[in-house]
Amino acid sequence: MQNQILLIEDDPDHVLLVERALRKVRLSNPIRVMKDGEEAQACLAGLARDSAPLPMLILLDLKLPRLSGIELLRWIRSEEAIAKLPVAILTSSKENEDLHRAFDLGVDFYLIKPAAFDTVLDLLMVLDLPWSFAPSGKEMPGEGS
Amino acid sequence: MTAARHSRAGRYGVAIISVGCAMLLKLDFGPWLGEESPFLLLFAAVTIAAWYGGLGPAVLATLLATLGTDYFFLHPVHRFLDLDHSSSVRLLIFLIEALTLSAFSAALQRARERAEIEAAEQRRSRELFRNTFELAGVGIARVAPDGHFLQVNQRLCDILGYQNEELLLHSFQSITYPEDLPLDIDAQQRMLAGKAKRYAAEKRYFRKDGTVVWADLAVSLVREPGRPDYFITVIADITDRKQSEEKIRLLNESLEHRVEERTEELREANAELRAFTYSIAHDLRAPLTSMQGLAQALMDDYGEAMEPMAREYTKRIIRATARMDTMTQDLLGYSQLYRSELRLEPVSLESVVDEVLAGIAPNIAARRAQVRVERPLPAVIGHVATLQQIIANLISNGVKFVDSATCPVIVIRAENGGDAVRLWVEDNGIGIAPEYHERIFGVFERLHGVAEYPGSGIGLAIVRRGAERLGGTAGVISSPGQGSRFWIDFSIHS
Repeated sequence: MQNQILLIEDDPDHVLLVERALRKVRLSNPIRVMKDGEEAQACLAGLARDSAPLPMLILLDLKLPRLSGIELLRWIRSEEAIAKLPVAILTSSKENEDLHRAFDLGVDFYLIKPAAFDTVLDLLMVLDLPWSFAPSGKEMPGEGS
Repeated sequence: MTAARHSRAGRYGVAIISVGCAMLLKLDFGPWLGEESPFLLLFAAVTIAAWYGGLGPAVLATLLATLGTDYFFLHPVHRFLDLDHSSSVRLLIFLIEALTLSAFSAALQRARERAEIEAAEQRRSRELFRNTFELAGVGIARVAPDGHFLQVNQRLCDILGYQNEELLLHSFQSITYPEDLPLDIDAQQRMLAGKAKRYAAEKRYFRKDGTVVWADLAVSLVREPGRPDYFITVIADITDRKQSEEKIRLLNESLEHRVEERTEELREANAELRAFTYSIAHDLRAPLTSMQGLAQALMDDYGEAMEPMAREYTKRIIRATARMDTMTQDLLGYSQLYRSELRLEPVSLESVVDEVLAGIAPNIAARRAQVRVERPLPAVIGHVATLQQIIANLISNGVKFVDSATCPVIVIRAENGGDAVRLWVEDNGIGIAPEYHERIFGVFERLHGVAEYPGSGIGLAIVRRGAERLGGTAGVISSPGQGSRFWIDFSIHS
């Protein structure tokens, strides 16, 4: 899990677009995708219990099945072992209510789709994280990673 | 017969006449009466004067009788105050006896008069009591210390539905509604113990026919020296009033119930609106976001490889999704005006206008528009964010709906009118025909094609709804080719 980015997103189109964006800047950190809030919660709880390496960054959608992004965020911030994990919200909603609730819970970034698909990495680079990049070469658009 | 009933002249006249008559009789019948009892008839005259006229006339009669006797009957006759020893003594004795008789007679008279007055007063007071008791509009009873009725009036019998004799067989305890009895008995005990002088309450009685009557009760205790004698109880029938009160209470209850129902309905509607907007913000926008992202990815990654026509189609997809994006955002902004609670406070229109102008400066510059603000603008009661949205929409409107050949000129000014302020945003644009003046404030109402004047059709709906949320309203004065003058009314007091 080290150096891993945890993407919690139920819409496969959005997963595809985020993966494309990361691929475009040749980011080689492994990406793990979770399709609902409960799955992500179980995964993080397991890692914390086993003292296993945690993901270095969480990209979190707000509208998720079972457990919403806000509920998951509240849980993360309340769990001592993972409370400090950097979390970036990645959402389609520009609603003030959503934005305020996320910041109240101590989110690090609030990025709005679709613009965020292109700018996500530019913005997240300000975080001092163990980023790793593939050696430059011809980009292979459309290919899964 | 009392002295007070006769005139003064009558009383003294009777005294003089009775003495005169006694003198005449004595003169005429002197030989038969004899010398030895010269005063007998005169005593009678003094007595009549005292009886008829009181002390004053009796004294006058005594003096007249004394002088008359001296003159006519005592030796030497026909001379005043020239008497022998024996006659003087007799006259003096007569004088003393007559005066004593007068005094006793007058005292007797006064005592009798007083007694008569007192008797009359008692009669009047008894009558007064009986009238009050029987003719009063309220029920009255005398009640024994143990609670039995001693005396009741007709009105009380009517209120309780009993005959007089029937009611006298009852006590207040036997006809009081059970729930109200403990308070009554407690008050009875306290009054008997001397801890309370009076007791008043609203209570219920059972009528003879079993129905319940509401009464306004007032009780006082009458004491003999050393012991309670009886209660005086006054009872008014307040059943009608109680029934009205009950009706009002039921009405209020049902009104409260209806208000609660309405509030609940509104709460539900509000919750539905929230769910609806949440769904637009998240669920509806998710596929839109995919379309925007994927179309852009297609353009970015394969644009160069595409034929020109394919590129054009892709561009149109991107534009359409962008428009839909704007519309959903504006719709959410509009619904925000229904959802959110606005705290109204005094706001300076001038600072709001300045902030808006700073925010849309790039848009204004791009259109080469001029905006003139007629300062100063007053303060109004409003909400900063909502006001900014309204004014931004009106200025953007003025800048947008202009002939391509014309440079937009916007004038912002305020008009004071007593308690209200009217803010004008005037433009030199294409104008609006009168038949559309109302329609333009509706949601998604558009007068022009998207290609001509792009937009979501929600801007003016936000202006109207926003003004309403601030307690005012908005309108327009315009005709085609003459520009438009939009106005918003604000109040200046909360």
